[in-house]
Amino acid sequence: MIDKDDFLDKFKSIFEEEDISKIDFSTEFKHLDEWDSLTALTLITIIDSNYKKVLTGENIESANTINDIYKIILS
Amino acid sequence: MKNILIVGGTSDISKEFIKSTYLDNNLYITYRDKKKFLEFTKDLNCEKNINNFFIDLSDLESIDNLNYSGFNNFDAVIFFAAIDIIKPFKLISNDDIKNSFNINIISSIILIRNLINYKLLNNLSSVVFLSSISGIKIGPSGHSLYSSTKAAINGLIMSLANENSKRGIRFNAIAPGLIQTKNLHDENTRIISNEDYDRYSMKYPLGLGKTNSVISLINFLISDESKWLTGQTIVLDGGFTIN
Repeated sequence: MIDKDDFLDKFKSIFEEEDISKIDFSTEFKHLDEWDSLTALTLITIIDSNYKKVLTGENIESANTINDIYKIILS
Repeated sequence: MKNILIVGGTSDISKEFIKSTYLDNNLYITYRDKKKFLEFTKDLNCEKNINNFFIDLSDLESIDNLNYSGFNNFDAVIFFAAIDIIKPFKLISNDDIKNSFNINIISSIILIRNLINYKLLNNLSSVVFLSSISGIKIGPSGHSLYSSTKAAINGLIMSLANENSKRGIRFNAIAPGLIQTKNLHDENTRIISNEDYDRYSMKYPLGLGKTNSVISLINFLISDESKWLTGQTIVLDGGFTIN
């Protein structure tokens, strides 16, 4: 079972410049200033090493909120 | 008929090279994934001309322990094996560093040293490395380890070319851009997403690379046609880096 708070912390950790206090499960992460191909790669790496789930480009494309990514990992 | 050592026999490019050359030459092929290698060779009907053996290039000791007396003298050695651990720099682990460097460069250094010491490289032989434009001309995000190992090849071949010039042994590298291999499209290996694929294609004036362009250059580099060419990393990228 994935700890939801822990997941959110890990997600926040991919950002270095954003105000992470404003980030929650409803955040549309692709609209954040810092979101780019490198943060996308960081997300893929962190999800892979912590949850053994390989996010595809299509997964990320189809997701809007952080909760969407969470659901993909649970599936 | 040449004796050719092929290091890394299961990459898409090495497989195409093997297919194009095994009828005319004696091949010695190393692989790490035996199942993959046997799957590939079972259709070739090639027992006569292909000697193959397992090496895990991340295990450096095993390279010293190879049965060098079982080798013939080589006319050409081609290094295909490499891994690209795609991660942001801040997330790379010590194991990632070790594996990348062991497989992509340190194993090659040890193997060449041993081949030279056991006098297994013929005069006028040719050693070819598969490098990359990454580390030579560009440094894409997420490929820091791959790029640094490919840059290391560039330095290695220049010194080796000098040290071995008296015997006419030549060392060169090919630095390709993106080549359309099967791996590129495979979801499991996810080298590149479909979206990236279209984006990259646009940046190559002559389009993405084909395996046979690399093979043609390898054949040139291991032939006498290139006897005055040594110590060079040759960029083969359809114009990507001049665009």
